[in-house]
Formats: sequence, C-alpha cells, structure tokens
Amino acid sequence: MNKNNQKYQIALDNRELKPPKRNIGAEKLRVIFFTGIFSLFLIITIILTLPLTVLTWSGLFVYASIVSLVIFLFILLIRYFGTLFMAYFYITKYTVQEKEGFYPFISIIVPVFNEGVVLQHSIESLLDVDYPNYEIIIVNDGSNDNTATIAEELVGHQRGRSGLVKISLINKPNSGKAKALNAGIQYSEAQFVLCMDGDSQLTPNSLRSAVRHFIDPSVGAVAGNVKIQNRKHLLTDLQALEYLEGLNMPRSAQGFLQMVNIIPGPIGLFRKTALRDAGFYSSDTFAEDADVTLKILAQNWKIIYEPNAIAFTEAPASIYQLLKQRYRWTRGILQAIRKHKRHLVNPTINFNNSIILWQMFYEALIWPAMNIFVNLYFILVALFYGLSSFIFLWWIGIAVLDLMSAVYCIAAEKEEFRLVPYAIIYRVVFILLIDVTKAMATVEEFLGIRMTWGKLERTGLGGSQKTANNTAGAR
Amino acid sequence: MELIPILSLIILVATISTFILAVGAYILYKVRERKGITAQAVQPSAIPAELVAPAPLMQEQRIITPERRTFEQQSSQQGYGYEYQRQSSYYPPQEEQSRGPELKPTFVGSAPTNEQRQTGENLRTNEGERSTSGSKKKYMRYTNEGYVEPTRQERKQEDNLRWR
Repeated sequence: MNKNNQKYQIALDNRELKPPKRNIGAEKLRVIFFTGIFSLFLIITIILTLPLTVLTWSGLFVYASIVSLVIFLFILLIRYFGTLFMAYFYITKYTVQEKEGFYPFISIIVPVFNEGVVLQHSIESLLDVDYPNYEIIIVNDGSNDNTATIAEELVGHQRGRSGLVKISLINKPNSGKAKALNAGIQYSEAQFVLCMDGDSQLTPNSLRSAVRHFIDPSVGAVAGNVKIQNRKHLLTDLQALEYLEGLNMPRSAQGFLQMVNIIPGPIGLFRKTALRDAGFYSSDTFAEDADVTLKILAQNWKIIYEPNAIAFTEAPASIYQLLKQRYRWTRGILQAIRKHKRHLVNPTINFNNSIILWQMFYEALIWPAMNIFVNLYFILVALFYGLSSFIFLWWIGIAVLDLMSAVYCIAAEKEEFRLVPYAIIYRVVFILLIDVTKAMATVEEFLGIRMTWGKLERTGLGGSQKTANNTAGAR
Repeated sequence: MELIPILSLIILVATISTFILAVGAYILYKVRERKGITAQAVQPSAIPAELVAPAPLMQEQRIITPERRTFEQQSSQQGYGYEYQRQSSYYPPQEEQSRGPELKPTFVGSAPTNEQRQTGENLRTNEGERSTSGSKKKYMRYTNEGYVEPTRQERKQEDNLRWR
C-alpha cells in the first residue's frame, strides 16, 4: 500500500427501503383462480359456439393458427418498425440538438467482487476519461481473490488525462452489488454518481457526453451505451449484435420518450437527489438496475439515453455462462415488475411508468412465449403435415427484418459491418436459445424456486479497451 | 432437387436442434447451480467496513464544518450554479434517516498500518507536547517579568478602569 494512503474504519448504513411483505401463497392461488376462470370461459365459449359455425375441430385448429400467426406478425411488425422509427427520430434529434457543456464534480463508483483480473484495465480506462472534475471510489464487496490487494495499489492521487484523480477504496463484507453501490454512494460527496461494473471500461468522452443532460433539472439519470469487448467468437459476436439491435435500439426509442426502462449496470449516471428519492439501490431483486430505474421513473424523473457514453463489457463466452446471465436477468426483471405491479394495473398513479412496465412485461413474458410458440407451431406443421416450406418462409421473413435492423443499428453506431451476416442466424438460433431460458426462468419465478446471484467468470481476455480490436462508438 | 425444400429442411433441423440445445443447456445449468444455493443471513442495520483513501492534497485541506441543512435548502441558497463546486457533507433530515439509508458513512476510527502502530505512540506524544507548548506560547504574554497569562493583564486593565 502507498505510504501516503490512510486507512479508516467506517460503519456503513445497511438499511434499505423494503416493500410490504408478500403473501406468496395467496398470490399464486389468485393467479391460478383467475387464469383457470379465463381458460374455462374460453373453452365453454368454443364448445357452445363451434356447432353454430361451419368449422370442424380440425378446421378450428387451422383457423386459430392463421389468426394467431396474423396477430403475431402484426405485433412483430409494430414492434420492429415502432422501435426503428422512434430510434431514428431520437438519433436525428440527438445529432441536431446542441447541448452546452456542464462539468460538475462526479464520483465514479466501481463495485468489485473477485474482479482482480480486469480491475486494473477498468481503472486505466477511467483514468483516461476526458473530464476535469471526478474521483473514483472502488468498493470491494468482500472479494476472496487478489482484488483487495490490486485495488489498494491503485488508491491514491493518480495521474489522469485531465489532472490528478483521487482513487479511494472501501473494503466491506460481501452483500451484493446493490449494497456495494450504496456504500460508494454513501461515501461520495458529489451530486452526480456514475455507477458501473468492475469489468466495464469507459471511453474517454463518456462522462462529458452523459453529464451535459443534467443541465435539465428534471433529468434524474442518463443511461449509457453498452458494447461487447471480447468479440471474434461466434457467441460473443451474436451478443454484440444483440446489444446493438435488441438493447441499444430499443433504448434509443425509449430515449425519444425520455423513459428508458433499464439503466444498464455497466454505465449509468445518476443525480444523487433522484437516487435518494428512489431510496437508492435495493437488493431484493436480481436486477437492481431495472429496479432502481423503475423507482426513479416512479418519482417522475426523466431518464435519457446517451449513445456516446460508451462502456465496454465482457460478455459470457460459453453457453453455460450466457444462460446463467440471462436466467438472472429474466428473473430479476420479473421481480422488479412484480415489485412495481401497482403501476402495471393502475395507470392513474404514473402513466409513463405504466407504459414502461407493460413494455417490460411484454418483452420479458409475452414476446418469448410467442416466439417459442410460433417456432413449435412450424415444427409441428412441418413434421406432421409435411409443410416444411412454411418454416423456411417464416425464417426468411424474420431474417430480412433482422438484417434490415442490423444494418441500420450498425450504421447508426458506426459499428463493425462484419456483424451483419450474423442476423441470418440471430433469430432462429440465438434468440430462440435465450427465449427458452427466459420461459424456463419465468416458470421458476412463478413457482418461487430459489436462486443465487450467479457470478460470471471473467477471463480478462478483452484487455484494455484501447487495444480492443474494434472501432465501435467512434462517432 | 429444388432449393426451397433443402433450405426448409436445414431451418427445420436448426430450429429443432436449438430447442434441444436450449432445454439441455438449461437442465445442465440447473443441475450445476443446485449445489450453490445457501440460506440468506439476516442483514444488520450497519456493517463495518474499511476505507482506504489517499492523504488529502494541500488544496483539499480545509476545515469542514458540518452544516445541518437539507439538500433542498442548499440548492435554493446557491441557485443553479451550485453543482459546479464540490459540496461539503450532506446530512439528511431526521425523518429520512428513520426510513432509509443515510448518505454519509459513519467514521468509527482510524485503522493504522503496522508501521504507524509501532511509531504511533511516540508521534502522538510528541505532537501532544508540541501542541501544548505551542498553545502556551500562543496565549502567554511576554513581559519584563517573563511569560504572563493574558488574563492577568486583562484583569489589571479592568481593575484600572474600575479604579478611575
């Protein structure tokens, strides 16, 4: 440890705003009762009305399939084009709109748990940030590797791009990312805090681009743009495309409405007042970023998307790690939705929040179910009715839409064009894999099966973002 | 053979394989994860932690007087430009403390290093002596009679005044 550094013993407030206790048994019974009543109503309606029509039972199957597919296609097109148009409007507005410089003091909070492999690179990227007035607070959440030693070596006044940057370290017992972030926020004296992951690396103009939105006093938080660092591998390249097409494009569309529904964990800049209004991070869900975003939106703060605030993150490189991540995301988002369900059922409380929650509900529950259903339907039709050309036509339609979206997103973000061909297998292989996991996680969440956080293994192969072999984000 | 049936077959096989892969990988994931589930302990209201921070730079060294005011008061007093400057400590109002976490951690004490532990006692004594002697010199008045307490002088002046 540097001799000039000082060590203090501190006590951190560990309390959280807790939602009222749930009666899980009663909730399940209520859902079973209502779904049962609804299903019974549908079956009785079909039985009573079928003899009055010209349809037979087999005809009903065909007819229902056609109607379902038409509805599915309609929703699909609305989803694609609605998102594309709004994202286009946002990017156009963003390109034209001039915003003045705003340089308040910012605390960057880096929560780490066994991130010894990547911490050095993360801090190097933070020291390279082109911003005159910031500090770094590393929160070591009870790591049991060499993270604490590496972090202690980094503590001090380090030379950054724009002068000396103070780096402090908080060593605390392990209690999860939410509490680690809260510890950093408690210690910070800044009015604005940037919360990130221990493995994320920021680009030099991230802070400068993101913080200028706070000149508008109604903006509570700014969501950054997350990109995959460890590419050149089938699975990580597919995730890179997914981040562009499936996460950043919808986020741009939400940015148009100033209602981003998830401030990503790798880069999110917050006004501390908004965080305080929201009751800070909570550890009662597995998606603390989704939860805190919904809480901030519920307090009527605006949330902006900043495409130039870029954070590179390491993506899971194996199917096991990927499923682990998506399983946690899905259950976490469902937990966050359930926590805020009063906004879901009552739009008079906060109309914006209701829209956002319904959209999250659709993306987390309805869309994966529809995708699985339609794929199973085409498999069934191909295997039992010999109509295998339908699945081909379906795939080609989806692939064209995905190619179109991929070209737009890659062009808008000046990303790597070599990712475009992945759109051919993106929907039929990658998204199906993810959707099956989402569906399973949804069932488990409904059944209340316990889960753990599931720490992802970091390889550190991404290295420093300076050496990352891509030109992404060079707007 | 026509192209469409071949492509259809490829897509069909790919879709079925993905389904099998997804379900298989999910089962494998659950089997591997089942071992790690442990019961959660009850969380205390405050947790001890250690802060490692660099010694303050000269420009940062200043006496921070805790001003008990809310953020809203602070912002209304300073107007829009307050955010350009680094803020002093923020203390949330009492009712807020009772319902949620605080914004500032509580400093319990310093955690000295081994070297500091060895030499700490001597340093503390020397510093103590220096400060005591310093305070004496600061507040004693030097006269022909030597060092005289200023209170004595003041008392004398008061007496004189009364005398007149």
